[in-house]
Amino acid sequence: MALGYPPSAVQVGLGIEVNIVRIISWLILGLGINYFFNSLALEWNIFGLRAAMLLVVISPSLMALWLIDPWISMYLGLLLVGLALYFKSRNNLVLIVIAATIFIFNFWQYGNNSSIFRVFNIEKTSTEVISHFLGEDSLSEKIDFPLFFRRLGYNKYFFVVKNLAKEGLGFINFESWFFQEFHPTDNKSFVILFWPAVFPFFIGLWFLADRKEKRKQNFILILIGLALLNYFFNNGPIYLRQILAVLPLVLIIGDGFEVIKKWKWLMGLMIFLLFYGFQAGIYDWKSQMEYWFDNRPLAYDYIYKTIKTLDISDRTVEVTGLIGDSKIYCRYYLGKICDSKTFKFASFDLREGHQTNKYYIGFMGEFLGSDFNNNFPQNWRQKINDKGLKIVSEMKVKNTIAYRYGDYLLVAIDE
Amino acid sequence: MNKQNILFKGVVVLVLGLNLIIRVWGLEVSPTSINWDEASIGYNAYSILTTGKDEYGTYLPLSLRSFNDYKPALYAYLSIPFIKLMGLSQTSVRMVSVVAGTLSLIPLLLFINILLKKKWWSFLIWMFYCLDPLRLHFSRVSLETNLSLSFFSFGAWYLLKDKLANGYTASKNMILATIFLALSAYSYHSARLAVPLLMIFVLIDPFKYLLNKNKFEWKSLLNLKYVLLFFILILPIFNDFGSQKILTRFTQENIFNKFYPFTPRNMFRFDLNTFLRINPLYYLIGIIAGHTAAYFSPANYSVNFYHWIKNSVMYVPEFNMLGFWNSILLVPGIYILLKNFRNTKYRLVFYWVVAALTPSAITWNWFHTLRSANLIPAVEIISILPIIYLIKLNYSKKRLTVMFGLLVLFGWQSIFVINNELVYANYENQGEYQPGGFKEGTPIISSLIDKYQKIIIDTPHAQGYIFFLFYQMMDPEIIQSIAKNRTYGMDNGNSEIKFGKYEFRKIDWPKDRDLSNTILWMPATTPQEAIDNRPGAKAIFLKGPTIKYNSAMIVTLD
Repeated sequence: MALGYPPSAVQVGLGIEVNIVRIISWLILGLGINYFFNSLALEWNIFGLRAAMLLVVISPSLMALWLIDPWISMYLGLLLVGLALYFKSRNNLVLIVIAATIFIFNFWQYGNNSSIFRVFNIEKTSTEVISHFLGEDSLSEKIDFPLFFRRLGYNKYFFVVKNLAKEGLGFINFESWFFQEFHPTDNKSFVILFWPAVFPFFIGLWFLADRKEKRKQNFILILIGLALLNYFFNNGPIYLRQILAVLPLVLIIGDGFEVIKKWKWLMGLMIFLLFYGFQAGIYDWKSQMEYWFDNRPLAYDYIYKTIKTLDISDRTVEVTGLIGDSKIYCRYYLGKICDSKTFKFASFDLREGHQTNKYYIGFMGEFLGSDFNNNFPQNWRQKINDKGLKIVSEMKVKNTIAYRYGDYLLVAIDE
Repeated sequence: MNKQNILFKGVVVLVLGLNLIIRVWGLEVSPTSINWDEASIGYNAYSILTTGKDEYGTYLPLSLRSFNDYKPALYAYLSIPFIKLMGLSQTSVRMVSVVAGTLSLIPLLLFINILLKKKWWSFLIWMFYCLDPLRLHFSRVSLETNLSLSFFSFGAWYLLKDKLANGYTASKNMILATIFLALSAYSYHSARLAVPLLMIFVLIDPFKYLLNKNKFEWKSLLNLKYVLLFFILILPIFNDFGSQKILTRFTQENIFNKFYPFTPRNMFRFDLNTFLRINPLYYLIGIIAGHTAAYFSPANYSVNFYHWIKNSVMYVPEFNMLGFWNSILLVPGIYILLKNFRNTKYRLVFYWVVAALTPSAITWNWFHTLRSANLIPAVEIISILPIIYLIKLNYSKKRLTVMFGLLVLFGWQSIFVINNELVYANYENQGEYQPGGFKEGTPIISSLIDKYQKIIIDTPHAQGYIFFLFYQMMDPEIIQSIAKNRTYGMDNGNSEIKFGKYEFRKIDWPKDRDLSNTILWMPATTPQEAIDNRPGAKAIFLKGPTIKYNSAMIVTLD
């Protein structure tokens, strides 16, 4: 909340004040976390569990969840309770229910767009096989293998198995677990845990492997299996796909802390680095909010907070519809007035002309005409003024969210 | 020697022979054409063969100045017999890599067998690992790193064999190890750091003291004499051009140079707030930790393709370093490695990984298969650990079924790998490290050269001239004679050069069309109509690696 990030579309859709939604999300998630770790305390070492719990609480991915998405927070909270029940009872029926929940929730969210469905899509696989053949056949000079030999490797069955293997391998990805903010692909996503956690992770992994605690090892294996299931059926950004990996990771890291605590200086250093990482991460989020977070809530926040300052009593307002459902945001910020004729929510094109006494709020391309390459002239302000429109307010949106329509969000009127 | 042993060695030789055939098969067309580094190694080998000097006129150099990147010269020296026998060609320049890549499979088998101690099972596993995608790929391109990997593997074998089997270090083997490891350092830059690290780790075994709380054995420091011997053996490399030039590549690529000021640039300020809240040291340690952890991340071995890999000689389409199943096995493999970390054998494998990844981890790339190639055998061994574990379990039908399933999967993958590397990779890599046109166009130039006074060449490649030197086997003395005036290099940008009738520069068609008695070699972007409008001009279009486009055009101006 201290970040000041505006409500996401899901939060706005609930029609409740965003801070209340966030508190509820945080409570559900927090209760789930608390119940899960307390249940594990029956058999696990307390020190390691506390460290693990602390890491979950400061996990950037989890913080992003309760900040943005109440449904996934609730889903995760429920899963945590389910997992705790399974740990206590070791009843396989509970495990089946958890697995079914993971499948149903993700299917409800993403339908059949998730990666696992793509892997098993025979039509797409056939196209991939054909493209290999076509690529080879287009070579000017090549080694000619007999067709049957080529077919042995280039067939849809092998490609399905190959793609499944590749998809699964993407899960064991230290980059998205610990190093997302350093990762050279600039894949905008939240890291699961801050990088200093990688040291106790390796130590914890050794500790786990070194000891003969079958029950503990099996439970972690089950958690990894469920995290993999979520990874396969989720089609969101990488942190959402990997969100369940946080549990086995922190439990392993907790074991790492159990080992490290013998060396007080090392323990102190680790705690310092993790908390330093936490505060540096928050600083990074605050100073580059438009880089890390979805820019659409920021854009809507700007639009409706600007409208609040305008005199719209005898005027109409046309708000862009290029970046999602604008009306639900309008209702959230301005209330029932949004259902009146004062407002129109749709993308507009002012190349042919415009009406007077009407506020136009949209991207520069809606005023000047879109451009395929998102290139607009330097003197775009002048060009809009030449149309007789006065720019009342403007905002530069980083990470273009309306490609072809420019990076500036404008409020303009012809008085 | 009993019959069993003869049979075993016979089948090993047979598999090695098959691997040699797969590696040498169709080298003249796959990879389609040579890249600039291969051309440079080949031409310098040819130059040394005919004159005793490299293209810059340095007598028997230990490093080739080449594109100012000071390539280790051992690969070029070893290529000389092949060039002498087969002439300067794509095949002859790749033969060292083929042979080194095939021979490097021997230590892998020895390592598997020393861990498993069941030779036929070891053989079966090894057979499928011989066709590891990156091993096959590196063996079909002239790469100094592949030669280095081969020496490194033999060196590591002699360094580790006694320790793995009996837990001590025999001096005879240590001397052999040091020689092989020094040869590895003569072959590629990375080994110059990886070798001393490996030797120190193995000879001191620091984790032994951490895990068992033993008192440090000061006597073990005496073993470091072999590290000293290694440094003495490689001293001539640094003496040749001076250490600063030999370290040119490191100066260009190191982590400190590229990532400064370490804190993301859009947040960094020279103020107290930055120092306290987003300290550069926190980010620098994070980057180094990330670079190191990247080599333990199975996703990087198979699915994370970075842009610097994709556009380079390292790229194996569909794979990164290991096969799909090998990468999957790496996950339980890491776990088994840690589980047995108290056992010296397993610690030694870990030391190998850490030593071999270090040269790569301190450069700017997140994951770099070329610089970390020396870790391939160690990573392969880790991914074999679950199979070894399975084999060592008590006999059961379940175990046999799993083993049979694995063999089917590995066999299936091997067929795909052969297809993929020998044919499909040429389609994916066209235009990147396999520039088209030179192989097809240079014979045409050779047939026309006597009729024209000048040849002007404009290619998009910064070192286009090297392909002409290579394919036309240009007289090295001509090139050596212009050495004094050559200031260009890989990062210097300026690749304008003149020798004999050849001139390498940008072609301005509206202006250069007026030249006469000249051949122009230029990108195939000038329309045929423009050529037809110039009386006495004829165009020959050069096909690229694929039939879909022309990679260059030769225009004769009478």
